[in-house]
Amino acid sequence: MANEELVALPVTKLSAMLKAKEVSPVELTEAYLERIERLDGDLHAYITVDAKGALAAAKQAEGELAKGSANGLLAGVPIAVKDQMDAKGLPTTMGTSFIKDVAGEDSTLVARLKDQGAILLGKLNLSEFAMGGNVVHPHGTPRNPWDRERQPGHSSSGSGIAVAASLAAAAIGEDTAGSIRIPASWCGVTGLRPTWGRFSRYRVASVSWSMDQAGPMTKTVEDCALVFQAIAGHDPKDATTSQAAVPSFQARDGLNGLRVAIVREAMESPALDAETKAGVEQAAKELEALGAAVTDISIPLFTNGGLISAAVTDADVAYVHRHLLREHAAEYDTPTRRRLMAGMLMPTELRDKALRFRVIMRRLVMEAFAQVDVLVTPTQSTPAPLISTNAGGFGSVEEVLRGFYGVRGATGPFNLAAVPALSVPCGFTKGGLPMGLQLAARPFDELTLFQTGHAYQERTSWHTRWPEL
Amino acid sequence: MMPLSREQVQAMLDSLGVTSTEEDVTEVAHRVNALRQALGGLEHPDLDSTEPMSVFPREEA
Repeated sequence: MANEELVALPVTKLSAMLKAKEVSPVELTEAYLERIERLDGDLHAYITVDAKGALAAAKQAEGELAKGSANGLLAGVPIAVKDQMDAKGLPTTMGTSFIKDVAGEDSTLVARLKDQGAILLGKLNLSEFAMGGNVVHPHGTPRNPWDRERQPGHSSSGSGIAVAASLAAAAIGEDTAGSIRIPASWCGVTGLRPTWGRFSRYRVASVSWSMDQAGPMTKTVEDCALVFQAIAGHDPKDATTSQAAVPSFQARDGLNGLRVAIVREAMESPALDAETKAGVEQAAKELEALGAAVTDISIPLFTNGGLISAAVTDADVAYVHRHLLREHAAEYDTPTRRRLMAGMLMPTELRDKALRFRVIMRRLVMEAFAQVDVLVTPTQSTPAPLISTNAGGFGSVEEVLRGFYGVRGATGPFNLAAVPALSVPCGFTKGGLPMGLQLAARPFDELTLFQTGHAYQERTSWHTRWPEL
Repeated sequence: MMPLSREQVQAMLDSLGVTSTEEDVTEVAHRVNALRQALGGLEHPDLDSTEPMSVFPREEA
């Protein structure tokens, strides 16, 4: 098989080929490294490529596979992580120009990937401090592989690019208000923001402690479930992780008995692009054809989710940066600096109000889950915008309301509610840009998301299309 | 909630020891005032009877 075909395969297929010795971890790692070398000078998915470390790990995996002692779920599979997570011996830059500390220890997520046999290719590009919206990317402007003049989505930009462009078999992103699902949607890949507490945050740099959650970004839902199973679960190093059992994926035969509701407010948003709306409506029909009972539901506060999630996050992140901002203000990218400054000036009254609204949002979402099993929305209201439209600043209050809070409008509510949400590709615009369908489920019910998303992908082919590069 | 002027924003940033440019202050004022307008104006009948929380009890599926 040619390298171009090999790297485009999902993790489940690569894993089977590795175990059957149809391909070696070294050959596979070299194929990804060659592709990174060829394409990443323009796409800028990576900040650090650890070719030496990856090849050494691949040689070790090759020996273990030959001996039959490679038992990990990801044995020999080349993966990359957002440069927000520590990997021993590699710098963690957080997408900045002024932080380059070499990690002395693995984050739990990286340690678990390695324990499961994964090969770490490197660290992926992101918006500065995982906050989204910056203009200057000191490690190169990340570009959408479907159209290099367009944004790949923030803040896990490199993770979305790496999967879509087959620069890694899978990637780990992090999602505070949509930062996995937005690039998943705009890059045409599958991305899961797990239930808060599912993934360890140990040595994952914090944006907002109560909103942050890392998660897998992959070519298929089946891959997503596999990576999830490999690294989710309680971590004694992170007291906020849950003791809940981590489910192993089992496909279900159709979706009979599943109750699905489209969130009415998300579909009635004036910002929703007509093609995206049609894509989500068609996806709902596919779910219905698979046996699900599809209806719609109202969550009145839903349209304020972007505003409330940004308020919660901005107060948290301003505190995290209180010293760094005083010492390095000029070194931050302009939009990051100004967002942090605004967060520092948030009155306690509004911080408290945002947290009260968070509880109300959680209650409304849980009331919806008393009626249905899965909630459906577009992941983003539009396909990927042009890079040139990111002016990086706001010239009026109205621009802030539309351009800052609006972009997190469909994803933020589920972060606030601390429930899992999955984005899967649901079609392409006439201009060839991917669109994303967001599915959300009850806390700790990622299995229902995987089963629903997998059944949808078995019926459709959007997740099998990749950009020609 | 009243909007803040540029001068008020500048004074608050100065008091926090944060160095800012004139352009920073202008945009920070827009950001601060957008939040004060939008979240300050958002109401719900249960708001005052709801206690603020950042995390929720672990509910299994």
